[in-house]
Amino acid sequence: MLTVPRLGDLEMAVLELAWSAHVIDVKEAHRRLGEPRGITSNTVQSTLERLFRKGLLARERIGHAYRYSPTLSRDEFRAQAAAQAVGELRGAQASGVLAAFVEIAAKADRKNLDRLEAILSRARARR
Amino acid sequence: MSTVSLWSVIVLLFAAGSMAGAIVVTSLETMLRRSLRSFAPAARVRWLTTLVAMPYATGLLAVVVAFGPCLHHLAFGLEDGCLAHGRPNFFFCLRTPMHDVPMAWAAAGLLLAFALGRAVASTVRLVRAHRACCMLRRVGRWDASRSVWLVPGSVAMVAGLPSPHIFLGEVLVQHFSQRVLDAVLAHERAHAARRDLATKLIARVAASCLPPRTRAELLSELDLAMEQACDAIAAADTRDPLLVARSLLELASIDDRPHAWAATFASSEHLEARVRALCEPRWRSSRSAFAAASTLVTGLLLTCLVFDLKIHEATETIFATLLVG
Repeated sequence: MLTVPRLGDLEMAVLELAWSAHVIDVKEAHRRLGEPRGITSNTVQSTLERLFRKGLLARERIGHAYRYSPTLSRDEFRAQAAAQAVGELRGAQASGVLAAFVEIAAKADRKNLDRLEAILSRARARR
Repeated sequence: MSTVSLWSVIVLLFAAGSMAGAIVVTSLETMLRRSLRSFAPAARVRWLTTLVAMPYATGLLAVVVAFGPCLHHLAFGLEDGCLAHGRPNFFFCLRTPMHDVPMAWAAAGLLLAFALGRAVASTVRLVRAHRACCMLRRVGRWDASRSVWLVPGSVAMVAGLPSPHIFLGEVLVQHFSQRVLDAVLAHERAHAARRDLATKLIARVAASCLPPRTRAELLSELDLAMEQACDAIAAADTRDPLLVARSLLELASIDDRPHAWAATFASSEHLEARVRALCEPRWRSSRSAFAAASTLVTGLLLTCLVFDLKIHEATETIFATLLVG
């Protein structure tokens, strides 16, 4: 599984564009993202290059230019990034920055759950 | 006293007082934890937070008591008696100069370096957690109707400081009834409203001078008390404690929980304690314990006040023997 790297705002916007357009090149990315943001074509190009190096975009040379496509779907990216972030938060749980409804690391031990179910049923019956 | 020596002595006094507090807490920890378990969760949170903060409170008390007469003399412009007692050139005085005490600098420097190292490690962990929280918000979708971030997976948690955010797994929204989600969200909102994450953070910082086992036991107990306090609020909100218990069990039985391999005995123990507390709540009042603790603290403070000068001189003698020889 790919470790999802941390992304900046522009990287995220380029990735979003790649997901919606499926395949993009520097010109297209600059026209749709660079111009409205007032950033140069070189900045857009280096952002695409960074995403390629991070493994989030694949590229193919067509003529003189590269065309980029996402290596993960939006849903796959979200799922992996969320799992990774939750894992990191769990690691930091000792710092007190997180309170989970049921502890994230808690394993559903069937025997234990059955016993608790029985307690719950008895309490409901008493009502 | 040179400024560096003065601050070194203050650091050493604080450390010595904190250590004495830590020894008291450690020796009473098992007995206190057992006694506190019968108190209502909200009261237990207050007791446990006070308990983990006790070593630093005793450290502060040690500094204040040891420097009490000097502060008194300084505040009222009185003649101090520093030169009339203790060993020459070593007295806790804010006015009379004394020679430098290299031993005090060295000892205080070592303590400060250790504390700084711990603080840097904790800050790094906090920064990482903050970034993870930002990442979760970036991949999440804001649900304005519930005021939560919907994220992939099956988590239900509140994270982030200073303003906590509630994260709710899309799997939960798809699979659980609105009533279960209401109970889960009421619990998470209670964490945010009670500022539990800030309390947790302060408690962890305060507990840093306790021995590892005592710290782990007390913080685990504090976490359980906070969860139970929020369970109680969720039960009051939904007017159905058993619904909250049912929600806990339903969430605990989800199979796709990340890191499910990292099961701990403590977590299943907490789950059982929470379900039992919701099904069969049996709490007793903490008023008598509060009265006893208040009497004890007042007695201690009065003793410090009455024997202030004696404590001041005795501490000077001990420090002079240890640091000057």
